[in-house]
Amino acid sequence: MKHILIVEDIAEVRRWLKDVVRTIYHDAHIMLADSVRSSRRLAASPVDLALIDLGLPDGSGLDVLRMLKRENPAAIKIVTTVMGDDASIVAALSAGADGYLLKEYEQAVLTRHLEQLAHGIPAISPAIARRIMEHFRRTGPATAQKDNLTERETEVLRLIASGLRNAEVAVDMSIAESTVAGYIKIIYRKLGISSRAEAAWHASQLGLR
Amino acid sequence: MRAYFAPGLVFTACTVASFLLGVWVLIVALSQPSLGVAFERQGLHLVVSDIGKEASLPAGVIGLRLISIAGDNQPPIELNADALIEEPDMIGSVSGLRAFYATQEQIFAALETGLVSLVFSDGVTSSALTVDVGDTRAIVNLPLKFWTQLSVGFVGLVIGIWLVCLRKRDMAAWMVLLTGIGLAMSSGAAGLYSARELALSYGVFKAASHVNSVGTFTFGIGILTLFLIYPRRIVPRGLLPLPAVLIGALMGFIQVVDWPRHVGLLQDGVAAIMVVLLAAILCQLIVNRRDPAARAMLGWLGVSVALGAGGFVLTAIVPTLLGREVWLAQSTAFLFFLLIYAGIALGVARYRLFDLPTWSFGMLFYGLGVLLLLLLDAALIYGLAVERAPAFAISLAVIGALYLPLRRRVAEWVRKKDIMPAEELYRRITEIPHTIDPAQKQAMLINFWNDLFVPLSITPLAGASKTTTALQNDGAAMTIAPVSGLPPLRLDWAKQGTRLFSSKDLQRAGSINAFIETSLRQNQIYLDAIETERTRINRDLHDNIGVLLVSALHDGRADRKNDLIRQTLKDLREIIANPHQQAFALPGLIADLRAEASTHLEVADIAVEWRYDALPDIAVEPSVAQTLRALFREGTNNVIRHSGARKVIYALAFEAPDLSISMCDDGAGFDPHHAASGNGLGNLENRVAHLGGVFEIKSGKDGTHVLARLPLLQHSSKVMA
Repeated sequence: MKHILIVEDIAEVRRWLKDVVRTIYHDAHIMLADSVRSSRRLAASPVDLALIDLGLPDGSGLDVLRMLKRENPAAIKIVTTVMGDDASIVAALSAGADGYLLKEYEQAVLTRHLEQLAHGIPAISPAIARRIMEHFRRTGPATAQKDNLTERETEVLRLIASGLRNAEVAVDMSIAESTVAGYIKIIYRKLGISSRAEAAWHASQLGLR
Repeated sequence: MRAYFAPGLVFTACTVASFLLGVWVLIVALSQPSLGVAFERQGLHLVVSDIGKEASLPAGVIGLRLISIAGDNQPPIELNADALIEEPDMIGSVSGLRAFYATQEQIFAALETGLVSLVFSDGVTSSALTVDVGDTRAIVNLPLKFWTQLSVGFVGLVIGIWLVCLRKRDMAAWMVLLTGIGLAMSSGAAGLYSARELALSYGVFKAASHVNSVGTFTFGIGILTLFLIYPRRIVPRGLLPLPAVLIGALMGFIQVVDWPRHVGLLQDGVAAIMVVLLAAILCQLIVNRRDPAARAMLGWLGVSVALGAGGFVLTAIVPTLLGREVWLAQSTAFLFFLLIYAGIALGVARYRLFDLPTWSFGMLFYGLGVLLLLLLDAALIYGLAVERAPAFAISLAVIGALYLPLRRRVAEWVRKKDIMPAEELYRRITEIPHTIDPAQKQAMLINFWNDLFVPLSITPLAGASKTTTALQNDGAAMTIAPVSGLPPLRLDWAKQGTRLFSSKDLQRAGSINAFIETSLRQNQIYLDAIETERTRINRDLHDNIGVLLVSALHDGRADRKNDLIRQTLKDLREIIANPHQQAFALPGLIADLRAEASTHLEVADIAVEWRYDALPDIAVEPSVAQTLRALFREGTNNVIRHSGARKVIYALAFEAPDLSISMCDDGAGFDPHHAASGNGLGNLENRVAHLGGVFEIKSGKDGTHVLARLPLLQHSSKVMA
C-alpha cells in the first residue's frame, strides 16, 4: 500500500483516519481530500487504497467511488460513514466498494477491519447481509441466471446474517476463511450487476439509485 | 310541479323567434309590387340608379329621371325625390305628411295594376315606356340599408334576451330587453319602409310608421328607466314608472290623436329623452364616483349609450329639428345603436356588467350557434328546392361529402366536447388532495366540477354540511355532498345553462364525489402516517439520544463518555433505519448483537463461543430490544475491560415466554456489590427488573457468570410471519 487516499470533510476525523492509516502503513504516501471536487484530481493519480466518506459537502462519496473505479480499477475502495444506514452501504457496495467502515468504531476495531479489508478480506454486518439477501430475493426472477447468487453464496450470506464471523462461517461450511472472503467479493460484484439490471422500483426501495 | 326551463333553452328559443320575426319582415318587404329598379335622389329629381336582372326596362334608362308613373288606364302621377323620403316623420308639416302618404298610396295603386306607363326625362327630352310590374320584389334588389336596420334590431333584441335569461329577477336586465324590443320595432319597421322601391300601401306604411315610433319611445322608456336604477337607483322607487307614464302618454297622443297630425312631436320627444338621459348618466357618475366598479360599468354602458343614442339623435334628428338636411341617412344612423349593445357585451366581459361573469358568453354563442345550424339547414332545403329533380343525386352526394361533415363540425363547435377522458379525470381528482392550501383545494374542486358539467355557476354552500349529492328543483341544480373538510357545492344549470341535470349526471357525480372523498381520505391517512412517524422520531430522539448525550456530558470518565457517544450513534442509526417502527425480529436482533460482541472480543483477542439453537421468529418490543442491547454491550465491555478473561461463552435459550441469556467468562472475577455501580452492570439489574425479568451476577476467582431472564411474549404476543 504505497498510495492511500482519504476523502473526508470533517477535519478531526480526517486527522484521526490519517493517524490510524499511518500506524498500519508507516511509509505510505497519504493523500487527503475534503470534497468531491478536490478528490477528482487525486483519483486520477495512482491509488492503492482509498477511504471515502459518503456524505461530502459538494456531493456524494459514491461519485468519488465511481471515479476511482474508472481511474484505478485495482484500488481497494473502502467507504467510511458515520450513520452507516443499510441503504447507503448497500448502494456503496453495488457501486463498487470493497467494504465499509463505521467512523464510530473504536480505534482498535477500525484498525483491525482496515487491515483485513486491505488484505482483501471483506466484512459484512448481519444487517447488511440481510438486506442483500432481501435484494436478491426480490430481484432474482428479473435478472439473468448468472447474476443470481449460487447456493454456496446464499449460504454464506445466510450465516453472516445470523451473526457469524467469517471464520465461524468457514468452520460451519467446512471451507477456508479465504474462500468465504472470495464468496463475499463475488456477492458484492453481483450486487453491482444486479442493481444495474433490476427494476427501478426495487432500486429505490433499497436506496440503490 | 313547476316546470323549469334552462336559461340556455329559453335564450335559444327566443333567439330563433326573433330571427323568425326578422324573416317575417323580410317576407313583407319582398311581397311588394316591384319594377326591379333602384332609384336615388338627385336634388329634387328621382333618378334611376340601377336596374335588376328581372326588370323589363332597357338599360338605357339608367341615369334618367322618372317624372311620372301611370297605372293601367289611370291618370299619371307626377313624381319627384319626395317619393324616396326615408323617414316621413321628418317631414316638417302636417299637410306635407298627408300629401306624402296620399302620393304613396297613389303610386302603390298604380303599381298594383300590374302594367304602368313611365315617363323618363334626361332634362331636355322625355320618353315614355310601358312595362309590367312584378308581383314581388327580388331579394337581391333589397338595398343594404334594409339589411343593416334589420340586423341592428336583431342584435339589440338578442342581447336583451340574453341578459334577461341570465338575470331573470334583475329589473335592469329587463330594461335592456325593453330597449332591445323598442330598437327592434323601430329599426325593423324603418327598415321596411326606408328600403321601399318607390311606394308602400298606405296601410302597410301607416302600420310600419306606428311600429317605428312606438318602438322609438319604447327604447326611450327602457334606456331612461335603466339609468334611473343602474348601477344605483337614483330616484325614489315611486318615481320609477315616471318615464313610462310620461313617454307612454306622449306616444299614445301621437299615435291616436288625429294621426299623423302630431308626428312632428316625435323628434322633440326624442331630443327631450336624450337630454334627460344624459342628465341621468351624469347623476349616476356623480353618485357612483367613489365606487370604482360601478364607475367602470358606467364607463362601458354610459359612454356606449351616450355615443350610440346620442350619435343617432345628433346625426338623424337634431338637423331635422333645426330644419336642415340630415348629416347621415336615418337608416345608416341606426348603426349607432350597435355601439350600445357592443358596449353592454364588452362591459359584461370586462367588468362583470350586470354581475355576469364571462361564462355568460358561452350561452350567447351557443344560442347563435344553434341559429347558425338552422340557417345551414334552411339554406340546404332552399338550395334543393331550386335545383329540383335532375340534380337530386348530385345534391345527395354533396350532402354526404360536404354538408353533413360541415354540419357536424358546426354542431361540435357549438356543443364542444363534454366527456372528460378517464386519464384526465383521474389526474384531476388525484391532484386535489396534493394541494395543501384549503382555499386552493376548494378552487381546484370547483374547477373540476366546472369542467365536468360546465354549469352556469357553482356556489359553495358554507354551513350546509348535511347536504347530500342530489338533484334540486327537478334538475335545475345539483348539490354535491361535502368531502373531507371541503364545503358542499351547488351547481346551477348544466352545460352552460342549456340543459337540466339528469339522473345520469347525479349518478356520475355521486360516484366521482365518492372517489374524491376516498382520495382525500387516503391522502389524510398518508399525512397522518407522516405525522406519526415524525412524532416517533421526536420521541425517540428525546428519550434515547437526549438522555445518552446528557449522560455522556456529565460523565467524567473518558472511556465511558466514548461508550455513551458510540451508543448514541448506534441508537441514532436504529431510529433512522427502522422508519416503520417495526418490532425487532429476535433472530436478527441477536445476530446483530452477536456480530458486534464478536468483533470487539476478536480485537481484544478473547475467544468466544456461542451456544444456542435456532431462535423462534418472535417480534421484540423496542424497550426489550434496548435492554437486550444494553445487556450484551455492558456484559461484553465488562469482559474486555475488567475480567482479563481468555474466553467467554454466551448461551441463549428461549423457553416461552422467557429468553434467558448467560455470559460466562474465565476471568479474575470481582465483587459484584462493590463494582456494580462503576461498570454499568448496576443499571442493568433495574432495567431487567423493570421489564419483569430476573438479573443475576455470580463472580468468583475462576470467572464471572451473568445471567438474565427476560419475558418476551408478555410484551410482544405477535409472532412474525
